[in-house]
Amino acid sequence: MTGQNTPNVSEESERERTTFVATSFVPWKDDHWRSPLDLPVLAVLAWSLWRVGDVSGLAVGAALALSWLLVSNVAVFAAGVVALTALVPGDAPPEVLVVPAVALTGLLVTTSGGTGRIRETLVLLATWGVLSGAAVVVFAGTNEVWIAGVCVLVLAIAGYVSLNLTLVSGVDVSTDE
Amino acid sequence: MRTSGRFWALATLPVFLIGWAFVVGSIRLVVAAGGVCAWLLTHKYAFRNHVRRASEAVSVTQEISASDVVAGAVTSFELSVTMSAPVNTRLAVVPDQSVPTEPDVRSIRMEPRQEESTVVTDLTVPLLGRFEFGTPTVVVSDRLGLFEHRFGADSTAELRVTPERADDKRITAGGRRVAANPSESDITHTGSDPREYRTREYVPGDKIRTVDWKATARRGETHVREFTATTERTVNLFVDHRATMAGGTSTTKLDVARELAVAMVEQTRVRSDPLGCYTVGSDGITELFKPRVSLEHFERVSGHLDALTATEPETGSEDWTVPGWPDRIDERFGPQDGPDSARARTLRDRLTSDDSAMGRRLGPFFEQREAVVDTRSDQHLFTTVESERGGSRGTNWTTIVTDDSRRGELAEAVKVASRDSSRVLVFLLPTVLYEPGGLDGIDAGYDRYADYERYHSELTELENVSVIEVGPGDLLPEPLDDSYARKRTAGKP
Repeated sequence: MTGQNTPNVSEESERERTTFVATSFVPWKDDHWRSPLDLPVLAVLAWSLWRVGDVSGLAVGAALALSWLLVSNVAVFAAGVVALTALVPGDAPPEVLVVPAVALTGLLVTTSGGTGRIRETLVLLATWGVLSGAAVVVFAGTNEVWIAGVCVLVLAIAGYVSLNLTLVSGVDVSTDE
Repeated sequence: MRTSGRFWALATLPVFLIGWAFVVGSIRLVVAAGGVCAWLLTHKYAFRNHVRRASEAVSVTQEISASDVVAGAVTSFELSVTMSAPVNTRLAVVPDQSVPTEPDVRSIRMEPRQEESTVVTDLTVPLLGRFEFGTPTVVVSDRLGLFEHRFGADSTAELRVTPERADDKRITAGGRRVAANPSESDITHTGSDPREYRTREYVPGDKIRTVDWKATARRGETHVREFTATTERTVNLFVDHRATMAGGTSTTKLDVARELAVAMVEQTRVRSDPLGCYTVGSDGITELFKPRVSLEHFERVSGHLDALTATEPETGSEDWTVPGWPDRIDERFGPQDGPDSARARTLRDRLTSDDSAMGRRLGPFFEQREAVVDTRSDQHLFTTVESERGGSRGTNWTTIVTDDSRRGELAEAVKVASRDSSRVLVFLLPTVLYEPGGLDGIDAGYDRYADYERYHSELTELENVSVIEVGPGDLLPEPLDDSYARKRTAGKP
């Protein structure tokens, strides 16, 4: 691809060209946030919620589908988990949760960062496994939800910082201190 | 690395989920919070990989169509980005915006997997000097707008903006035109040369200016002079850029002075002589370059001279554009209170009745009783020359580029310089030739020019001093030019 003064070169104002688009909070309307795969996932999610919560579940599924138009998949996922926790009693058998949980997880893997969906999915599941495993182990040991939650947050922050450090050390000419 | 508002918005979700988990006492929500954290870390990991790949693959070049341009001229700045391997992320390359260009140089934004892009900006630089387009910044941002990282690309470009050349000049030495442009002739070598030389037969390729005409006439064969440097010669260049140098119509005196000074630097560089440079403004020395001989030094001096502008007049200073040369010599020795003025009055009284050659010559300098004395120490050229003269081993050459607005001060500066220099070269820009209508009216113009000529002659008669007059070339018609030359040759104008 060659861009000799072609449309590849934006004619936007200097500010638009040099300012990072995400430095301010803007609605999640970029193309990369929306995947066609989200639609069947949302359909499955609504169906599974209807199964576990009847009309209330269907209403929640519809609300989540509508919120998907306005917020990111991750936010829909978080809202879905809260709704699912409210719809399904704590003593319900685990198999009841499987289908809606998988549907919600689907929302996390449909948005790709560009490295490759399968690879990203594997990394995501592996990381999630580590964090969840740590949370479950800590909860089993302490029986305190908040300690398990803090453990997850600490591990996530540690991972974030280490990735930051490897990024800075990996790019010699970094000017982004 | 920077994180966006989007990222922080998403980062609040696990905190919210964990808080809600505590409220409802459900470990499921903590596990879900782990899912959101994992999602964020996964995208962070993906972005890190993109940045690494981009930093390895990106190659940025900056080119300027003409690295040496005249102020106001349009030049093209080309920014090119090539990726040796496609990167699946957004990339922007922002050139160094510190150079004052009009318009701003354009940036490049590349979409994911784009391999090449070039953008050309036609720009002008309104300021004079040497500018460097420093390292451009490569901005990598992820597809979801969560992260951004910036790093520098190893590429620079230099642009030198020179003033518009005064194409038409009249450079005369001893009343004869010696060059139309400073670069055309080795103007710095008018007069005797302290270098030794030997004579040999001409061979093809020798420059015509090296021909030794006397030896050629004597021997019947063309001979040339071959110079060998015997001593280190230090050139001290004093350039006046006070307010009076801004005088002129289309071409100001400073335009010409700037060009002369740069030519002088260039010729000194070619000869590998140490060069010191001192620029003098209305408040004294504006820049000082001690004698050195490195290429970087010459470039710095040239860059400074190229960017030279006339300084504002000193507060309360007089308009010196109507000078009277005998008056100005009184700037230092005038009839003012104090030892110098008393001495001048005594001398004037003695010289009035002195019929000797010396009395006739010096009398006019003191005959003006009410001469104005400038006590505001507006003699920065003189004080600069006095303080910076000599001081180097070997031979010292002093070159002064100025106008004749402060004739007394210049004469004193030249005298002081000639004490320690084997040669003093003065590029003198006569105010009368640069003023609008300077020679309008044949009588008034002639009188003013004749007044200048007297001053010029006095300076030239000083030992080891050469004075080169530089004026606009279109001012004097050639016949008048020639008549002055004949008068000068005869001795007096």
